[in-house]
Amino acid sequence: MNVITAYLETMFGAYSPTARLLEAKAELHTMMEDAYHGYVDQGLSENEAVGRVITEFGNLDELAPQLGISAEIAPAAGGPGVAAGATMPSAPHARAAAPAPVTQEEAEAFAEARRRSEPRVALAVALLVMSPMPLIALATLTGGGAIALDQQVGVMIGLGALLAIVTVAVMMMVRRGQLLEPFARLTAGEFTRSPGVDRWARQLAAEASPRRTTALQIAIGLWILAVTPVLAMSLLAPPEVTQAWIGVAVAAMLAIVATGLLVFLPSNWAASVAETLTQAEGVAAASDDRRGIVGVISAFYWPLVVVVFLGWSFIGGDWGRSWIVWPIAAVLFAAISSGLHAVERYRANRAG
Amino acid sequence: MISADAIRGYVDLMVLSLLRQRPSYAYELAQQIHAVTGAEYTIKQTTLYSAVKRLEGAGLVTSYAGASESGKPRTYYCISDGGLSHLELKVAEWRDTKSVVDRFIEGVEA
Repeated sequence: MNVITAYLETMFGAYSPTARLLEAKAELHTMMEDAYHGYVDQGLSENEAVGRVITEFGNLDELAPQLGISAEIAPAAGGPGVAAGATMPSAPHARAAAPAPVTQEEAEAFAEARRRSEPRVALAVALLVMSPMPLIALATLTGGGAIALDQQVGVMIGLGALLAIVTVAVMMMVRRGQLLEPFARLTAGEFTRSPGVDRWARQLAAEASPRRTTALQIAIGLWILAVTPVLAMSLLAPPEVTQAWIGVAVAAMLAIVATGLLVFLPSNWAASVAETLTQAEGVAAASDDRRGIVGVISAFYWPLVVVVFLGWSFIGGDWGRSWIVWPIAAVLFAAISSGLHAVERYRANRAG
Repeated sequence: MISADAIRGYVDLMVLSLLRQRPSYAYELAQQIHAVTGAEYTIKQTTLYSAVKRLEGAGLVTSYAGASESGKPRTYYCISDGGLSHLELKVAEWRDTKSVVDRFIEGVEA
């Protein structure tokens, strides 16, 4: 019994003894005494009964409005039983910064936009890869005398075709950017993930995964085989034929590379959507580039090859030999792609 | 086990419905509540005390000084007319609340 009295003295000790406070203390004391006797009558030991009564006491915070001690309880850090209450006011501030969660509707609209626009992206990237084809073919054909045309004219026609194709591809990319404009906050990662959407997106990716893997394998196969026209011509054809027609073989190689991209890129949308939706708080933008890495690499890689090719051809004036850039670039591209694919598969196996 | 937060708004209803039967004192109210709720909910003494004091402050309950059989002084609580009509309001509100929440949890496995 003394323990109960001492407990109440401690609980109320921090506050000035107003009439209401003393009344509450007296009545709670009576309640606790009654409860104690009740437990002892039920057969509990004294210690057990005291323990039970103190457990059932509750928290003085609850009485604050009735006892007129709210002001003392709320800001007090050292007051009994207020530690939990004192941290409350800061919580809403911390949450205020969280962006709005992604809704199922928004996610589905985004996925649909990606699904519909992906073939267009694939075509644009493929066009970029194919853009130097006329230039390479015409430069060697005219240089080697297979076509009765001045090489300068051939190069001019090729360059014109290159610029036209690049323009079309860029316009397609811009159009696609507009299509995805309403989902800018998703691609930028400015949203809070939601468990329902997470589950849906993962399932979407899982369903599309076998097709995507097949497409990537076919594409990598094509990229490895792409160099065969060039090899065959160099090894099998007589040197004078090779000199004139090697550009056509290189153009064929680029066409095969572009076909691989056309096979793979349209199958990539579900995986890419899932990765965007299951990552938030600004990291999505970075990962968005990483996921479609083959697509991104081809968009930067091939224009770079074009620059090297043109630089060598114009500055070195060596149209007859500069085509060698293309087979080297193709082999390198196939190697990089299959390397990335292997890494991806390794990660997936480890995660699964 | 029901959390204190989940049931907080309805402690007043529980107290008023018990006092509707007869005047009572705090410990007896706690006993009666425990008898009904069993192990699913144990009311804390401070929760109960703050509820009766809140009801008293709002004029829904009146108190008088009494004594136990052994002569110990006790505060008895008694429902007022205002308390009776407030109880009816709270009961109607609970029925609505229950029906609304039920509509949301339909089909949710628990």
